[in-house]
Parts: sequence; structure tokens; C-alpha cells
Amino acid sequence: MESDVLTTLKILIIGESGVGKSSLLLRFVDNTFDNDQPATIGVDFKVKTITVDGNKAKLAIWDTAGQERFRTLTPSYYRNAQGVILVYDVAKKDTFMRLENWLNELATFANRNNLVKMLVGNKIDCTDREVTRDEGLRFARRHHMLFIEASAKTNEGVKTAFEELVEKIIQTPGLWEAAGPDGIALSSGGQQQPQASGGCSC
Amino acid sequence: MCSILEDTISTEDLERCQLQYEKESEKPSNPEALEAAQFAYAWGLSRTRHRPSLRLACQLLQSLFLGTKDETAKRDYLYYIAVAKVKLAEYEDAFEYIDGILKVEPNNHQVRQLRQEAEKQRKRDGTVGVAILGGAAAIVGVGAAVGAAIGIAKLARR
Repeated sequence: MESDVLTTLKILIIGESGVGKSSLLLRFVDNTFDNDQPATIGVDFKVKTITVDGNKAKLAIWDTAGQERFRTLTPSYYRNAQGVILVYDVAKKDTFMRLENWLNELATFANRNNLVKMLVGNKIDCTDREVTRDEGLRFARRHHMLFIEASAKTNEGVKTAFEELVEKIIQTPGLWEAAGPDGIALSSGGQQQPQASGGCSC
Repeated sequence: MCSILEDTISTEDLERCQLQYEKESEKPSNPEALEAAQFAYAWGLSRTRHRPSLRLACQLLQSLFLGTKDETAKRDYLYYIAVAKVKLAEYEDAFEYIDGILKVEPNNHQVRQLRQEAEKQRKRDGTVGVAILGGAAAIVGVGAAVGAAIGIAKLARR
């Protein structure tokens, strides 16, 4: 079924705790929303195949915990990512103010310098907005990022955020062609690796 | 990685965490920094397949668990103890911790997924042949079963 998948892309989701990273992911992958989404433990991982401009791409999406406790080790998951979704909460200015730190962290730990970045202002369903659309847009432009406002709750902008990111990655030469061992999977067998069965650790 | 149980860590990352933890244990800059370093190291250890490292991860996480009142932190520590216990094939403990978290957060999909993967692994272990109840006989049994399986695979390739 997956024989026509063009490539596998590694996408990261990062940003402050509580901005809705997991909610965006779960809305996109499972079309579900939980008002009481528990804080992510370490990293979460989901796979979804999408078609953009007639190209089928398998997305391996890594959702990172925003909590301070995980900060030492989450960057070890940044390697080989081709795209990143950086999320802030439009109703919490401080999550917007911290974006620079996230970009610095990316610059330090992500090893592809042409990584495609999408800035997402989430929770636009909230009535008490603290960051205007224009502020978000200007920040994104200044840092050469794509930009969209979204709501995981109402499903507004969620699909577009992922699709535009993937479209840009596919248009970026050298980013996915040279994707390395976990990149280009002109895949025949799907995501399941053969299991090393039995006494591996005994 | 398709599963938390297959997640790995590079040697450099693990060594970096170990050094930081040793530095903080000798001369803590503050209790929070020590706790953070201890957790980072334990988390790193839980991502290996090395049994002594997995045991050390459990110990470090247990002491963190006992030392904090932060409920979310407690949950995170329990989760990684459970991960290590599954990798060690200590299922009884693992399920106790997993179900403990699910009592508080029944819809936590990460924890539910861990439970499913643990079930799957336990079944797979079971099909290897012998219930691991300790003792040399059981270990020899598993070894023999694995040996036989490898032998068959090799023969099949010829």
C-alpha cells in the first residue's frame, strides 16, 4: 500500500509547555481534541501519510514535552529533522516572547541548516488574545519562517500548517533527497522494522 | 522509532548526562539542578538496552519519585520506571506502575500505548517458550529456544 510513498520526513513540534503542541498533533493525525490533554512525557511519536502536490509523503512527527524537566534531552531528538513546527499560544504573550530561545536551541542542535520552519500561533479560539496576528507574522518573516494561526480546538488552520510545511520541504532541493538512513524510504514494507526477537538483552 | 521501547540514545548524549549528574552529585549548585541532572541521566539510561543501566535508571527514578511532591513529575518518573521494567521483562512491576498512572490519567495515550506494547512484548516473550520464573533451567530453556530459532532461520536461508 505504501509503495508509492515518495519520502519519509521527520517533523518536530517544539515550543513552551501548554501551548497546544500535542493537541495540534492529535487533531492532525487522529482528528481528536481533548480539553484536558495531559502534559507530554518526554517525546511522543506519530506517523501519518499525506499527499501534497500529488506527492505522497510519510511524516514521522515527534512531539516534544515543553516542560523544563525534559530540556536536557529533547534536543537529542532534533537530529535529522527536515521540518519543525514552533508553537506559541496567542493568548499568552510569554510563550511568544520565548520563541527566540527555541530558535537558538534549534540552531544549536538541529544539524540541517536548511531545515524548514513553520511558526504556529495556536488557540485563536480564545477570546483573550495577547499576541496579534501581525506580531506573529512579523516575527516569522524576520526569522525566515512560514506562518499560520490555528486552533487545535476548532480545527482551524491545523491541516494547512502541516501541508504547507511539507510542501516547502519537498520544494527545498537537497533537504529530502539527501535524507540519509531514516529519510528516503522508497518504502516497500511500511514502518515496521523486523523485530529482533528473543534474548536481546539477556 | 516506532515505539518508546525501541528508542535509543547515543553514547555521547548518555556520557554527557552522566558527567553532569556526577558533577552535580559531588557539588550541587542547587537541589533543582541536581534533580534535573539526575532525571536526565536516568531518562538516558532508560533508553538503553543494557540491563545494569536499566536497573540504575529504576533506582535513580525511584529516589526522585520519593523526593518530590510535584504530581506531574511523579507521573513522569513512574512512566520511565515502567519503561525500564518492561525492557527488563519485569512485567508485574511494569503493569502496576502503568495502571497506577492510568488510574489518574485514564486517557493518557502515551501510557496506554506503553501498556499495549508491553502486552505485545510479554506475549512475544511467552512464545519463546518458557515462563521466566528465574532459575538456571528457565534461562537454559530460553537460550535453547533462541538457539533453535536461529538454527532454523539459518537453515531456511540456505
